[in-house]
Amino acid sequence: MEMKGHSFMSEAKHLFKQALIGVSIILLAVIGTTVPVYAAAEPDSAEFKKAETGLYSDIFNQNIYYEAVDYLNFEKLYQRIFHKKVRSANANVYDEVPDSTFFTNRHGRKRLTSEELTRGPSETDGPSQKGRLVITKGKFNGLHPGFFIKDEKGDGYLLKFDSPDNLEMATSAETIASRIYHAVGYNVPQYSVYEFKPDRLVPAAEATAYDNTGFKKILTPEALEEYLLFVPYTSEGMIRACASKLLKGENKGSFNFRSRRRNDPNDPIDHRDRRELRALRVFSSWVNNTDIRKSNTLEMLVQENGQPVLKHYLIDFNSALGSAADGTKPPMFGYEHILDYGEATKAFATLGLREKPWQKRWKAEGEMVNQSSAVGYFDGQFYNPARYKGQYPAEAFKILTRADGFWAAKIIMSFTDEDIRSIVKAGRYSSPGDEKAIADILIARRDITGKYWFSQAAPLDEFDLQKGKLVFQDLAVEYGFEKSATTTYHVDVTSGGRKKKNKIAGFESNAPAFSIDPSWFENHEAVDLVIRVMRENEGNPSPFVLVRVDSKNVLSIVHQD
Amino acid sequence: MIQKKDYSWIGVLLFAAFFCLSFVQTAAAGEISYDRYAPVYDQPLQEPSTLHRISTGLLTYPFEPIRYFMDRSLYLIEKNHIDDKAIWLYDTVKNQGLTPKFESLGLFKSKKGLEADFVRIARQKQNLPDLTAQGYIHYAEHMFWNFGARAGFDRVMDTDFRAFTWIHYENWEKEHAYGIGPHTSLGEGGVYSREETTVGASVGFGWDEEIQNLDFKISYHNINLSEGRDGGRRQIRSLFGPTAVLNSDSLLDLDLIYQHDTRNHKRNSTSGGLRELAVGYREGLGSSQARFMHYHAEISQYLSLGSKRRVLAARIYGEHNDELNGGIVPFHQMPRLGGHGTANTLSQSLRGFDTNRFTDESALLFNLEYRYAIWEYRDFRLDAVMFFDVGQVFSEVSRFQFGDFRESYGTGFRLGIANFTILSLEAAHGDEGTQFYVRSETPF
Repeated sequence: MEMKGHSFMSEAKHLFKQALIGVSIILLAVIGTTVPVYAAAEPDSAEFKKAETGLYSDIFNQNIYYEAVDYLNFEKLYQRIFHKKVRSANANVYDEVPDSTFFTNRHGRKRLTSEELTRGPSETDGPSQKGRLVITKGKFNGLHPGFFIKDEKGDGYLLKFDSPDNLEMATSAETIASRIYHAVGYNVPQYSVYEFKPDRLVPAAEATAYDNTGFKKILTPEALEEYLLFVPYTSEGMIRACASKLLKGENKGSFNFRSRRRNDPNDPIDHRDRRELRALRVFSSWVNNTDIRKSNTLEMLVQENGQPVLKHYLIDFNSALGSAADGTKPPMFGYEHILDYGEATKAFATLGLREKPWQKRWKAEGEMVNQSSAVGYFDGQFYNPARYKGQYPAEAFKILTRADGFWAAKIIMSFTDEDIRSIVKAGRYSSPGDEKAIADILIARRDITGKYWFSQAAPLDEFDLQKGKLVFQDLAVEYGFEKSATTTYHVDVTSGGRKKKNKIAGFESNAPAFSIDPSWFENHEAVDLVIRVMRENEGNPSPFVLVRVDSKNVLSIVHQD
Repeated sequence: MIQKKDYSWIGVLLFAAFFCLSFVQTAAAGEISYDRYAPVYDQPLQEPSTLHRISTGLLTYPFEPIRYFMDRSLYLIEKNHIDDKAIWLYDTVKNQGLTPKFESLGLFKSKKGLEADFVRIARQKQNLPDLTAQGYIHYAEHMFWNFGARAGFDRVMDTDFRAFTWIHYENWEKEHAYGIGPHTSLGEGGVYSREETTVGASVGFGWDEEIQNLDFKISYHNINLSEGRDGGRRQIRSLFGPTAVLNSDSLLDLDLIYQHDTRNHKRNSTSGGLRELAVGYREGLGSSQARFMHYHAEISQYLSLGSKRRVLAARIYGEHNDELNGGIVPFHQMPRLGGHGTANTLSQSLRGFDTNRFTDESALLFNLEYRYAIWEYRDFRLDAVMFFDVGQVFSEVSRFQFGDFRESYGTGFRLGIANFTILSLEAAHGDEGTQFYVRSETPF
């Protein structure tokens, strides 16, 4: 009996082991098909697969799938429930974003000149002003045409046009917004306003286009003439376009706002943890670009120093400012995602009696666009950076922290009124009134954005040790949002170290500078200065900024997330 | 003579150099002493470990194949312009005079059909803009099918008069019935099939830009009731027994209809209203014993509550059939209440109950709906709707009792584009249970 029992137990154990192995194999197989392999091996840049996407996929992925499935991720669920902040992984020890294949610090690092801002990333002045513009391919959005062309110099461009009722709106918006993103630090193609006589546009013999039938057809001169009926003309009979210079390199598709490309050595962290991608929410709110999505990004494989490098671009800005590419921005844009479950739930629960912010604004405007047709639906009066939403939710935008917002805001505030006017000039509005209106709105929105994000953080920057003093700037005071006379800086000095911190000293300073006491370093190589800003008109102190110093240098800076 | 060299310029130069340097230093004092953009990190840049990802995202992986399938399908649809092709094909066929039809009648039920505009097909729309010549066929699996044709003039001799003639055939495979009167039992439900052929003609006149209309109709109906099949449901003859009201009939109908329609949209109005009054005479032909007067009135009103996004819609429907000279009102001519009130049924909207749940010679019905927008995107709009229906059937006006009203209430969502409802999901509760509806139109 004992032997039999033993035999039975052994068999049971054996069976259990086999079952366990079987289940493990199945699980690994399932996970293997769904989890991308982590490239521990040498990255092979030559094998960058093209990441293809489109508008419909973006709507499904960003508005439906991840909005639901992210609730099944334990870590994200925990972070949502307990409001845990996730610090950007690529913020360096000084709380800045070093240059990368995604981002190059430009205006925030060193102010660009007025000419540089107006010129943006442009290598040329746009397509040649002479000769034929040979269409190589058509690109249609309904009846709204676009053309890939080659000018007489052989340079390739994509020409996009305004909607029939809004001459200058989309073309100027794209040109202006692209320069702003470029000046901030993103990689963007060259966009420029370009006017030309319609007879210069000639289809190549092999040029094709998907027209509104959905079938690819040869683009004949007759068909071209028909398409140009849907394009607005200037009073001089010219066609006005936004010419986007085709990028050099090999198109590798789009990047997403969640995960990294695993075999790219220059893309070591998930995109959701990249501060510059999170902060797109802030920059896009400023310029009212509601169309930030995966398919409006581009990855180009280029050679740099003999090495293949994948550069990450933002493209398509004709949904910025008051434009929505094919016309004036609909009133809900900027306030709700395409599918906004939260807003819909609120409206359902309140029986529709609660007026949504966009409805209030639309009602206040008399349910019509009161700006000129070139400006569209764009203002600063009703703009709220805290509530701003693009059409496509992205995880990176959702987990933006106060530190990320502050970082973005200080770059935005580095644009002076004159800088903004210089950029708006590139939009080449025919009416000085329109140019002024756009510049004034951007200036107003800049200040609203800066004020809001500075109020969410300790807006302190430019920390340095000079002659035994820690000096810094209070950007809220510098930009006139707060008064220095009513501001106090509360400082706690603690011993450095990750875990156990001992308070060494505590004091308040009325100026953005205070002496570093050498005695703090008697027993410690470095100390942490935890600084909070107290304003008279605000009850609570601000979030902290932690500055680690030794007796000679600033070692690190961390703004509270 | 050797001149003594003047080296004073060196002193001036040194002074200038010192001055410039001090100025540069002063200017540089505004800059910080370290490279704040240097790629220096506390920790190496790396993503979370594989184990961490898998353990936290374990529940999401089973959905990944769905995402992959949807993502690729949508990408291919867009890349190959399949959506544009489908729209173009639909528009092209429609412009040729043929309109494919599709309506939802339930979760897995739909009405499919084709409507033909013969004037367009003959390329005569421009020459004969007022001529109507249409044909149609509709089919809903295991429910009904119908076909017919209609011909006439929207304007006769360039006046506001109109004239039409039509023929219509419909066949319902399984109509439910629960007996006659307000006190029938749900458990006594039966089933029958109904086949009806109609031939008719009408003349009408519209004025006030066709806000007001008066129509006179004359029509011949042949109605056959026979056994239907719906699972194990009983045949209605076993419920009713042999009675004249269940007979098949041939009828001659005469109707005078007045309509005052100020709705801003026929299907999803946000303002205005509809008033319809009709009086008719029904005469049985051949062996039919039917002979009665028919009266019906419908009033609906749509009221925007401070915004066109909040609409209160109310409707009153009343119908009365009055026997004449010993004639009867056949069962198939009686008004019915129950169901959603759409999808070609004769039953009026009392949503907490089964279609055709209440049948009698007269009916009175009130519908109240509060419709409000909860989501909008360009021309798309999702409305939430809360509704309350109350109605009763009765034989004679003298038998009407307030206590016989049956109530139902419910809620739902309606997705529309440019004032056309494309999907309506509704749940209604009455004292006989809860009914769910998936439809492509609003009940009124």
